[in-house]
Amino acid sequence: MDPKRRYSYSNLFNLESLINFQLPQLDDDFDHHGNSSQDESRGSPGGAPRNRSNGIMSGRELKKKRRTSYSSDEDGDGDRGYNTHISEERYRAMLGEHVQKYKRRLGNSSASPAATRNGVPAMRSGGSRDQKSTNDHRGALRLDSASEFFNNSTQKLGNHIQSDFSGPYGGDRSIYEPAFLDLGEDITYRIPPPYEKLATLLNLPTMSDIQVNEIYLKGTLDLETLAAMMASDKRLGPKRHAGMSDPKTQFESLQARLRAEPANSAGQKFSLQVSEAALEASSIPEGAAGGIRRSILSEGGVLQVYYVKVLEKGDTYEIIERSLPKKPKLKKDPSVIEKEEMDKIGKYWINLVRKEIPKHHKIFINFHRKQLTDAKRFSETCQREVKMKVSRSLKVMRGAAIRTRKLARDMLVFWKRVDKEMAEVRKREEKEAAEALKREQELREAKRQQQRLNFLLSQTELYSHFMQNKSTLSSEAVTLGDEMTNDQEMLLSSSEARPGEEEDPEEAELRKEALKAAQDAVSKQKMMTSAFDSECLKLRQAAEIEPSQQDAAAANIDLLHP
Amino acid sequence: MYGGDEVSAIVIDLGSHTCKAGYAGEDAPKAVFPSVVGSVDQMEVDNPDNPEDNSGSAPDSKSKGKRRLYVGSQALGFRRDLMEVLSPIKDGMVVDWDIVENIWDHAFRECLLIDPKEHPMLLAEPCSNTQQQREKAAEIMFEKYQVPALFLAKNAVLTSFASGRATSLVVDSGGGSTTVAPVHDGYVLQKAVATSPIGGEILTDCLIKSLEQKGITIKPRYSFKRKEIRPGEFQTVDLDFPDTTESYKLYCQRAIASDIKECVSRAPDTPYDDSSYSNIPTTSYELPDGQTIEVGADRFKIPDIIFNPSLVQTIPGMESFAETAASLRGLSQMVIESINKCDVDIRRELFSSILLAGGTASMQQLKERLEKDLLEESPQAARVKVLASGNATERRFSVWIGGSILASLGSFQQMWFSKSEYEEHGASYVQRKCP
Repeated sequence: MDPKRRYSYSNLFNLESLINFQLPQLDDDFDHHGNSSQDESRGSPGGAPRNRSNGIMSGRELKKKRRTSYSSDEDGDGDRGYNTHISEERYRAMLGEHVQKYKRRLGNSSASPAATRNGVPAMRSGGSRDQKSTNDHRGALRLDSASEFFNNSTQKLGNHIQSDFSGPYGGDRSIYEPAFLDLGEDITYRIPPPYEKLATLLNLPTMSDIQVNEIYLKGTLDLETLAAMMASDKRLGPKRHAGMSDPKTQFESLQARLRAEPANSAGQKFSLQVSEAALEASSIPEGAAGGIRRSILSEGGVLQVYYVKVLEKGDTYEIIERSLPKKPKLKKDPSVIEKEEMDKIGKYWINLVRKEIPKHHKIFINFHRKQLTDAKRFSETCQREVKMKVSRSLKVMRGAAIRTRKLARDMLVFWKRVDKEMAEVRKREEKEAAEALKREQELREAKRQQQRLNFLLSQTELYSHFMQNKSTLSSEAVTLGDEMTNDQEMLLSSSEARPGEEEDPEEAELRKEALKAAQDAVSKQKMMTSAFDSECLKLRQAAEIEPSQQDAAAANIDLLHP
Repeated sequence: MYGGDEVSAIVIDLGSHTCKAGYAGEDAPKAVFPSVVGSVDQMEVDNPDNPEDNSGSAPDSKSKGKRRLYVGSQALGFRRDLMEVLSPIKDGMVVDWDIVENIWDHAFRECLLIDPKEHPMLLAEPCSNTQQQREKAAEIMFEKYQVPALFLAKNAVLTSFASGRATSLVVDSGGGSTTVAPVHDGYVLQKAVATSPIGGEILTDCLIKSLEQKGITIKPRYSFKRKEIRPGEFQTVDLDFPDTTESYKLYCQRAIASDIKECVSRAPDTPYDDSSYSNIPTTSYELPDGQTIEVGADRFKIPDIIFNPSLVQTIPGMESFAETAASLRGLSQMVIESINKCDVDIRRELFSSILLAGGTASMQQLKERLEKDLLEESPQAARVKVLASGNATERRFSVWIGGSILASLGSFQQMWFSKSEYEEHGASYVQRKCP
């Protein structure tokens, strides 16, 4: 249906065809994918990585969210369709977006792809504040690319150029591209059939048309250029409108845009209407909760998904508050997890084994050795202690023998001494006893002598007395006093001295006579004395036997009682 | 991830012969007891034994189903009528988890006196442990004991850690088997692991048989009474217990024979042959019944079985094992083959760090003999070095000590397989967490 109208110039800006377009397939998204994939496959070698990141994103995102994220100030035109379920409008919008994306890819400056990304540009260049400059930049680039395409009207060529362009920006592109591509769905992204095929099937414009169209749209739309475009390729009519939003990006701000708008052609207006409607319907209301996911390229060149809260929204800028999303749970393949975990554990284990074990072993061995030496020292100390105690007791033991021997010797000596003393004492006592006996005997003897002397004296005195009486009767006296002669003699000798002094012849006579008488008396006395002596001797002998017998008895008693 | 090293971990090494358990960070296991259990069928006896025995062994014994199990050397030391001695492990694999649970119970509650809920557990496992076995172990540990964290480590790896090496060739000669396993960066190179069933128990059996051949029977301690009738003079009276099972008798005989083996045997410096060892001086050993035996050539012959398994065939009574023995290789061949299966890059390193571990490896002169044999067979360039810890305890418990070192590492604490991870991922997660 489309193609017919496309060729007429009057229809050029009439989107009716698109609006009325019946969905060729039930699954709008799939269709869409078809387009995008086509883009991508054409896009060139960067395809694979793009695809991957795209896949991840699409997988995560909810349809709605994504839709909103894609809707933006300038690109909003297509987004209205999202609100209604699957509608023609939506289809159309998507188509338009694709076209844009495709174009952007072609445009391929670091800035331009971002532009399509629903208001990303501001953030991409490192924050919303920068928006102006980026817008400028982007606009310029876009113009460049547009003119370029214009010049090379064959899309193929353009494509090539684009790939050339992409050279330096390759990285960026690969990152950005997926976002465009996953416009398709949260349904897993597949590499769809080539666009060309779909195009023929669904009566869509061919690649070349789209490109040209885009370029055309990018430039401020004026009839001249349009006519030129038509001349070069007639089929691009309706497509243009889909990408209509792009021109706005040129404007630095909403005001600028507003100013510029009147100047635009009717077609432009129409497109604007669409886009505005889309904006109204699906753009992010200001101050919405920060639940919108966007991929933002940081200054460091890392593309990261942020949750974005739109604070203020302009046509070409957005003030947003961004926050890092919670780390999505990686749902890896269990086998991969297992492998990773095993690797981790294995690495840790090897590290432990290589570094820790030898170290700890050393510690262990040292500890063991220390314990051993401690035990040894301890036991030695114990041994010494015990030995000391034992030796002490041993010394006592050994000393005991010596001591007993010494004691015995001491005892022996003591008793010997005691014995000696006792013997001495006894000897002395005996001696004393003997002396006492002797003394007693002497005393007795003396007494006896005294008695004898006394007796003798008494005898002598008796005799002398007797003689005195018997001086006349001398003879008789002599005979009678025979016994007394000894005593008389002694008396005479003593008396002789006295008579010697007064010797007288008469007396001498007398003395002779006396002497004669005395001699007679002495001889008589001697005879008496000898008779007495013999008698006395007999008596003494008898007396002496008795004491000897007594002595023997005493000796016996002594033996019995020492 | 488990981040608590405040409560010390428990390290358990359940070997085929002995179970070692203790706290991580210590230098020797606290509890060492046989990993066999006595089992009495509950149907037959309702233990009319003396009461003091009952009270003593009641905690050990768990009546599960129809049997009552007795765990621990004390409970096993007491002879019971109809008590069979069972081992939970066959060919290095756990076949009876019920017994294993009983052994663990004994270790936790009787020996270490701990609550397994509070301590992370490090279990040593055989090098070629299957996936099911590991998962089963994890399941029991988490479900039954509710341990806060678990780790399973391979015996060979732990032995290697016990000597502070990340790469080594571990020759672990234990009770039930001998395993040669290369360890590289804390991983066992499974392809190159060599195992032979010749372990301490086979040697003990050989010794019993060859003593029997000489007319010496080892009387288990329970089978006689011995009393001192005059100072220095003993009288033994044989007792008869008709209800004693054959397995219990064998268990007791083995206990004695293994002591004989440990006391007198010595690896010969050169391969054993009957003629040159026929008039070797004998060593005497006094059996518990007072009988003194003289062990001559067997001193050398028995240990040489490790190096030359075909010697088993010359021992009468070992016919059942002789067939398998014929196909086995000697220890040094196993080592060489195992190294040759490894990558060329690490062979050199493996040759220079051959670690001897396990109870049987602590036999006298074994290290020297192995080194000598390897020197003859190894390539010229290789620098053969057999390493063995100086003291026998360390050699016997090297696996446990390695576990103790590992579990006490600060940086290891985040490698535990924690209870929450178990709850989240299930038992199979153990494969990932425990390399």
